[in-house]
Amino acid sequence: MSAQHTHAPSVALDDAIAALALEQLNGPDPASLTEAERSMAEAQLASCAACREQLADLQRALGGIGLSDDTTNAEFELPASLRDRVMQVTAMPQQTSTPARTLPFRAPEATAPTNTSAASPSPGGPSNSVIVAWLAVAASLALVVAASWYAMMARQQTTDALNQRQAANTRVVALQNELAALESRLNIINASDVVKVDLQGQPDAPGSSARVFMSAKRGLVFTAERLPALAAGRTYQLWVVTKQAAVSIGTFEVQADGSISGVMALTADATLNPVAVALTIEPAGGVPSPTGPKVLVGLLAH
Amino acid sequence: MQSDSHLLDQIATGDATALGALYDAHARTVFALAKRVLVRQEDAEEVVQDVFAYVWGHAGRYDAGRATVAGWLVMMTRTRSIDKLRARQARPDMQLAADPAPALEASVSRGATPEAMAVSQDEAARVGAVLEQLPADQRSLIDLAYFEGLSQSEIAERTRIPLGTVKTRMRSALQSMRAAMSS
Repeated sequence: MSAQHTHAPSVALDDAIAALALEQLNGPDPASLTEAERSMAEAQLASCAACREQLADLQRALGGIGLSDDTTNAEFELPASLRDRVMQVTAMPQQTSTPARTLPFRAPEATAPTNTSAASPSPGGPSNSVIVAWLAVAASLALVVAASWYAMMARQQTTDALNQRQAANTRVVALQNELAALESRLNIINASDVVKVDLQGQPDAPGSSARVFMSAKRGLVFTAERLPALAAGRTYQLWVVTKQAAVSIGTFEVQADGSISGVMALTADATLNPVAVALTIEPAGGVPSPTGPKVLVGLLAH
Repeated sequence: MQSDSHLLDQIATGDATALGALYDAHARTVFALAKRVLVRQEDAEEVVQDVFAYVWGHAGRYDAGRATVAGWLVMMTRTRSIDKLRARQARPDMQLAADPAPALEASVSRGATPEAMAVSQDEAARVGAVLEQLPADQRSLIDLAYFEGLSQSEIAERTRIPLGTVKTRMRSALQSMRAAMSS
């Protein structure tokens, strides 16, 4: 790799090569590269080794972001249980391929030929042979019935055990998810860059209140109380208002008592110069920019 | 200690211990990236599970000539995380939506140029160092592009910064990162 350029310096070409590198990362972006710019860049790339090297370097630089300390040195706890959950993927196929439950069904088949052979004709006389044969058949039937009953019970016990295990696993996963959600909330509240914002009810909801903990690194915790019930087709939408725009954080429904509490993700643009947090009532599904009445508003202290 | 490539060879033969070793070596990186994109702990954990499940089923598809193992894992993690982020934004309810499970294999091909997956740890460290030094107005755009998968025009629309300004800042940031890698 080398940063040396052999082509004439050109901001337009550098822009185009940067745009191509970003397109290869995130997909086509015709709006950022006109056909003329694209043609120029492709022609340069075809004839200029330094240009190709420049593009490759930019791709490597972008690829390095995910591996960089800046990404991987973030503060977090890797849950010990996560390794076990990952490793379950290796255990499942082995469990399903084990034919243990078929064994009880095969036992009577293995014993039946032995008993049948005892009922074969013998020099002892026809009446004895008939009696022996009938006894053998009866014994075989009894064995088959007993073995089938045993197999059915064993299968039922196995099924019950598997169901219990599955239910226990489901419960464990649910608890792990609850714990993870609590950890997410605590991580945000305890973040070094956390900002607390108290939101006040506006004329449309004077009795409502809310609190937000916002961390650019970790996300946002939103807790609200006494929010009014909404008409059909309406939803609550939370916004972080920056100096540039109102950025949607998400829409949500409230509990029957008008409360809501949860963790929401913050997009990068929501962290650019935030000045306020607001809650509005919007059409179901949400809108790109706020249109409805403000229910709650809170200003960030600066 | 076995190389990552050798571990993948063993995983391809059904060696669960090798998957555990690969997890021990890279889980923090995979989780950190997923958490950076998705913020929510539980979502990031799901991505870690998805990525290592994919590795278990498709280790034979790793091509050592095209990517480092870490680069391969990181690119899968990024694409899977962004897919999940977009699914969540399409229905941004407070409650976690039951995400559909789009084939990770399909998402791996996006953004997975050999160059992006072949970056070394040393180069990545230099990229990380320069990221910390970038002006905030450049850094935030790089974050939107890498961690949210936004194109330059989407970034312009999202931030309401003129597209020309976005391109200029992005070019400057990328040139700084490139210069750091070659220094």
